[in-house]
Amino acid sequence: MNNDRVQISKAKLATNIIVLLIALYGLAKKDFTTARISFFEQMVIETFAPVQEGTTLLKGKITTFFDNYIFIVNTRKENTTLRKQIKDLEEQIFKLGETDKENKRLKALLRFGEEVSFNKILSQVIARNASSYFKVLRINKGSRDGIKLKSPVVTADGLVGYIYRVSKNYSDILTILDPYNRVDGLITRTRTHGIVEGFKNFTCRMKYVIRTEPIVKGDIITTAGLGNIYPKGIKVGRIKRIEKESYGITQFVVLAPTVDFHRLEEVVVLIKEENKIDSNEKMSDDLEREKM
Amino acid sequence: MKFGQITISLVWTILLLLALDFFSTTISLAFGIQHFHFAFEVLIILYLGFRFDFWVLPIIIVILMFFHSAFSTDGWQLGTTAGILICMILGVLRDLIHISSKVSTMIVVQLAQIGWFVVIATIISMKIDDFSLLQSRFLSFIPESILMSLIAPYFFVLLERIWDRNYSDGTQN
Repeated sequence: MNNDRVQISKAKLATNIIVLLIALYGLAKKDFTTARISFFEQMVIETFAPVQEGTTLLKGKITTFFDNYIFIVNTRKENTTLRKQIKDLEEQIFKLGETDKENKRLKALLRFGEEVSFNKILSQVIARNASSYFKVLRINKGSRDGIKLKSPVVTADGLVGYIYRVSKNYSDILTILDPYNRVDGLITRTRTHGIVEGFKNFTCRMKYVIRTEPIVKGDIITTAGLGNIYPKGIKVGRIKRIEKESYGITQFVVLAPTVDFHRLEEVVVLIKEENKIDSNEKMSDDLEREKM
Repeated sequence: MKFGQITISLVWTILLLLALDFFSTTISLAFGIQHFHFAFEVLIILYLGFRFDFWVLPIIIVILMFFHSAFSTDGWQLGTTAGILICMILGVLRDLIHISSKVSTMIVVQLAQIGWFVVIATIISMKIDDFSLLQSRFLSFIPESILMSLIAPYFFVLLERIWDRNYSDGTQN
């Protein structure tokens, strides 16, 4: 009897240690910045993600019903304000269009490098991550729709993150709120570089900003275009707090993302489409067409 | 418990875990609960650690974490590491822990959750080489863990039905 108990104890200890070692080995090999999906994970995601999607769509329809038919307070006033804003924006778009044409001409003259254009895939956010340690969102588009790993994800307001995991019909986004997501940032006013990563309470922080840099609260941070994931010029956030300690060579910068993650419903995934044609030839062709 | 009974109970537990993960990733988000995460997988593993002393317990933990990883980016490795370490500690302290009331259940579950948090947050902090994560996450962990501790006694009653045991008899296997 005692021998049996000792044998059982040894078996328990052995199993614990073996499984723990396998888990620790897996942890050492695991990359928290991207996830290659296994067949089994794909099967589970493809089974349950449609239910997540259905629930989110239903919630959207209920919210829309209440907003459009029940809570129609101040609708006319809001309508007038929005019409005026649209007119102003149309004017700005026209002016920017002219600036864009001039930019292309000047780039052609300066014989700028290879241009990369992006395909845009619109997706809906259907669920979030079950863990509180990672800030991940699930969207309803996958490899079947052309989504690729490490594709940047944006909205009209700014940067959301990049594609972390892809299955056939669904993908997971590692957002900029996650400490594992590091974005090469640029403070547009001072052209100061730094690394933006997730912090706490839906904010980010920018590291390696030299303490002598004249940054102020309210400065906008965009992507710098380095690091091979995010294209240049996408808004990331606005400086919310700056702390300078009495020692050290850097300052501690906290920023509020320009994207409202509390109300994020739709995102755009940018899929890189490398332009193999020599950009000079393309620019010249564009100029010729404009002249005609 | 016989192997067949364990398998059936495990299947029901997996279904329960998947339903709860669906609730915490989708339903709670639909109701605007953005800042709160419900760690039901921790409660399930703590229950199994408190009540049972099988040699297959680590394998059960791996299987549960594998299913949980479809809803979470932690991966099965993190939860398995924390689960096995905590269950090993519970195994050693089993004779000292007397879960005889709801209050004692809540206290013990809270302490176990703190241990779980320390393991996970330490591993993640070591991976990203930044220990300030421990402090920032701890502040959000406290209210979440208190809520889970409050519901733990009632949740354990449900798990007792699945694992087919009398909650008050206190026997182990």
